[in-house]
Order: sequence, then C-alpha cells, then structure tokens
Amino acid sequence: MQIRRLVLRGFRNYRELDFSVAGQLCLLLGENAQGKTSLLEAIYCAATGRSFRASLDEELIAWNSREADIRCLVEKDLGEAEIEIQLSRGRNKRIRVNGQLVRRHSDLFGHLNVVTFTPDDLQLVKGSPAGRRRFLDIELAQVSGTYRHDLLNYHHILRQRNSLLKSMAEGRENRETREALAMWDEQLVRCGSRVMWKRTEAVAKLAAIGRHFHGEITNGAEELTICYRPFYEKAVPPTTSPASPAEIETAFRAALARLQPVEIRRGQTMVGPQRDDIDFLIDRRPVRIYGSQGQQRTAVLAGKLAEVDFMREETNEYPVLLLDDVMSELDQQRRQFFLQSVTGRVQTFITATSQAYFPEPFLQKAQVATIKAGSLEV
Amino acid sequence: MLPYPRPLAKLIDELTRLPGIGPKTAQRLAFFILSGPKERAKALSDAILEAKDKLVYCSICCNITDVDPCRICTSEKRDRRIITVVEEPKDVVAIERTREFNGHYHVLHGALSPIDGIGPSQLRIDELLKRCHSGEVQEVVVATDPNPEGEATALYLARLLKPLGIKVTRMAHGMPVGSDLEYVDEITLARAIEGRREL
Repeated sequence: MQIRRLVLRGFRNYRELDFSVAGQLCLLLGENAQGKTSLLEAIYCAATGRSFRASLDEELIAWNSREADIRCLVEKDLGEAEIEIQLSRGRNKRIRVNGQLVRRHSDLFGHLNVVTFTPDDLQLVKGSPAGRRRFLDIELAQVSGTYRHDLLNYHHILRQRNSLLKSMAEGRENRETREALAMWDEQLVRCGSRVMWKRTEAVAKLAAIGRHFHGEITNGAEELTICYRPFYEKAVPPTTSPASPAEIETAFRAALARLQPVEIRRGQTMVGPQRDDIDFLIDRRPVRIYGSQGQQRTAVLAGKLAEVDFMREETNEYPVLLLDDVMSELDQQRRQFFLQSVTGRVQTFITATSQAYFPEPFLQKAQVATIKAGSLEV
Repeated sequence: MLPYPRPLAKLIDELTRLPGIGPKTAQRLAFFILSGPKERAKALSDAILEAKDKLVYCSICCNITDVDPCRICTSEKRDRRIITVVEEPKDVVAIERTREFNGHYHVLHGALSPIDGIGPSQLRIDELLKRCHSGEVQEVVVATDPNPEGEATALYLARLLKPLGIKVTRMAHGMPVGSDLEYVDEITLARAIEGRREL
C-alpha cells in the first residue's frame, strides 16, 4: 500500500499541510525540532489511531489550536481508503474511513499498515521484554482482527482477575471468592492461550525471514535465531517452541496451579502472555547478553526487515515503512543494505538531518522534501 | 453570575444524576419541564413515583413486576422445565419479542465483575439455585452477555448447576440473520466458523 496524500491541520507544529506524495521513496530533510518526526507520527496515527511517542492525544494538537485533523489517502491493491482522524480538546477523537465513522477504535487497523523504525528500536534486543512484546503486538494487531480482539479481551480479563486477587489478598478470601476466581482462571487460560499461539506462529515466521536477511547482512558469517519464549519457559534460549494450542493451554494451566497461592498472597496475576518474551540469538547465544553493539544492531535491523515481509505475507501487501532518523545510527554498510532491501518494494518515509547519509542513485529516485518550522517544501 | 433559583437548581441537580445525562442536557430537560403545563409535570412525577411504588422484584424469577409472582412465573402455558438466565430485565423483553421461547426466566441483575465489586452473592444466584432444587427444571440456558463478565458468570452457573443433573446450555455465537457475509465483522465471523454445525 502507498500513501498518496497527507493533509494536516493543527497537528503538532503543522498549521496547514497538504502533501502529495510522489512515489515509493520520500526523504524528509530538516534541522532538529522542525517537524520531521511529527509527520511520521501523523502517518502512524492514521494507521493505529494513536501516537508512537505521546501518551495523550491532546499533546498532538497544536498548542494554540482547539483541534487537529489528519487526513491520509491510501492507495491499495484493491482500491483506495481515505482515513480521517479528528482530535479535539476535551472530546474523544473521531475516526472516519471513507467518510464512515469508525465506532470501535480497533476497527481502524488494517486500512493502513505501517512499520516504524526509530532510534528507540535499536534497544529492541537489549531493552525490556515489554518493548519486545509491543513490537510483536503492534505487528500482529495490524494484520489480525482476531488477535486484536483476543488481546483486548485478555487484558480486560486480566484487570478483572487482578482486582479479585487484590481483594482476596486484602482478606476477603473465602469459598465464594475462590470459586469466582476459578472462572477468571478459566478465561485467562483460554483467551491467553489463543494470544500465545498466535504469537508462536508469528515469531516462527519472523524467525525464518529474519534469518534470511541477517545472513545477507553478515554474508552468511553468523546465524540469527529469533525464539518465542512463553512466560512459563524460564530457560534462555527456550528449549522448544510450543507445538500446538493444546500444549500451551496445558502448560498455562500447570503454571497457574503452581503459582496460584503466591498470586493470592500478592494480590496479582503472575502468569500469562503479559510476561512473555522474545529471544534474539546469534549462533545460539543470546545477543542481549553476549552480542556486541554492532551485532545487536544487525539483529534489530534483520528483525525490522522481517516485520515488513511478515506483514506482506499476511496481508498480501507491503506496509508503509517509517524510518525516523535511524540512518545516522547505522554504519555505512548496514545503511546501504537496508536501503537496498526496501527501495523499490516498500513505500518508505525517511527523516534525516542531512542528505549526506544517502548515496546518489538513491537520492535520484527519491522525492526530497525539506521541512522547516512546520512547513514543507518539495 | 446569578445562580439559578434554588428549586430549579435542585431539579437540574436531580436530573444530572440520571445515567447518560450531563449538566447541559439536564438544564435543557429542566427548562422543558418548566415551560410545559403543570399537568405534564405532575404526570411525569406521578409516573416516576408509581413505578417506584408499584414495581417489585418477582419472588421467583427476580424480574421487575407489578404483581408478585410475575405473569410469566404464574402462566400455565409456559414450560417450567426450562429457564433462561439473563443479566437484566431488558434482556427478558428482548427474548420475549422473539416469541420463540416459551420457558421461564431468571434475572441475575448483573454479572460477575470484581472491578465493580460484584461477586456471586451480589447476584440473584441463590434464588436460581432454589428453583433448580425443586426438581422440575431440566435445562438452564445461560444468556448472559458475550463478554468476559458474562462468560465468567456463565461458567460459574454451569459449575453450580451441573452437579444437580441439570443440562446447562449457552446461547450460540453466530451470523446475524439477513445480513451479507461480507459485511459481518471479522470477530463475529471467526466465532461463527468456530461454532459451525453439520448440515
């Protein structure tokens, strides 16, 4: 899919912007704090309904404006979609797709798929498990409506169960609460296992694609393995990958039975996919612990490229790639490889402070836009 | 700013307590009531009081009723062997509209929700158990909402009722009738595939 036009009003430092995107490759140049990342943020918001850096919608609205508008025209294999996000202070945002109001926020997903790559992503391998789960969740949520539904439901069940456990920890443990807990256990296991099975399948596919890219970057010198590590598996790397939904459910139940007394004492759920992790291994050793900084970056790069191809496999269309200032973080060889891998296939928006990072043939193919204080010049 | 006269402020304040009514709507309603004839205002306040005075919970099914036991529970034409369990009185009305169900009902007045402090003893579950112990009931259809709270409640009831030898069933997930397959949302469709049946 490709973005053809982006219209912003009152979004961050953009008073008015009407940007016609010319082709596959768009280079956004500008000094710091001029609005490069905000433009990518607007695209991300059109895809997911939220920002990748602000936690509150209000932060996206220009400080002297009451509302902000994002309109994004997407061209897909099967027709066009016009996405409109209206943000306003003190009111819920309104989302429209082709003029139709979208009621459930999650129904926006799938109209525009994006993969982002920011300097923060370089922390993917050595950062917290939460970051790696988010990486997996955002990508799966974009391609699978049932995953979105299951994940949302799972977190809902988790909140209910935690609330019950908390009241039990505070002294309301009796026959009735124990019986009620069993019902939430059952739902936690069923819904959680569905989430985990989807993750298992997704990581297996990512691993295969990621290994291929990694092999190319390192000229076959090293082998990357990406493994899904369910919460009940403590060994790093995991010894095996779950083979079926039933296997996950059985292991989930066993872990729950083992930890339930602790859960009741602490008033908190200790099991479930909110404690999953993904391990990146090079030659069977965890990159997080043993990898050099360069190896970690290469692993992230391969993981991100795999994400792009994974989404293409799942939806039959390439997502739009948003690269925020990562070129300066990569050395020349990785930069070159990365650009080669994506150009010509995937519509890509790249922000950078200087075009010196890009080779001449690349610049010739790109639409180069200069951003200065919330306005854009092509 | 000159505040509203006390009786008007009180009316607005009372209206604001209603669900779904914010201060602005409350003001509009209050002014509407004031601008009408006195008879209309009296009819409204009488209707509220009468509903409050005359309606009680049925001592059998816990539905709202003006005669106790309610008309469904005393009906000779209805099948006593089957009970449909719902969360709210309005769910009874919804099922009655279908004219397809000729059994009895039981209204729980909510669903298990620890966040809201609702456990089994806050629901009308004991009343249901008492009915099931009578030996007459053969099947209980659990028609709580298809969300985590409704599901937890359904599982809880199944666990209580099955040992009594009662068949416990759950309403099916499925395709909305009369719609085109392509317009059905993917979750509903996925559940409908899961619950497919042989022809």
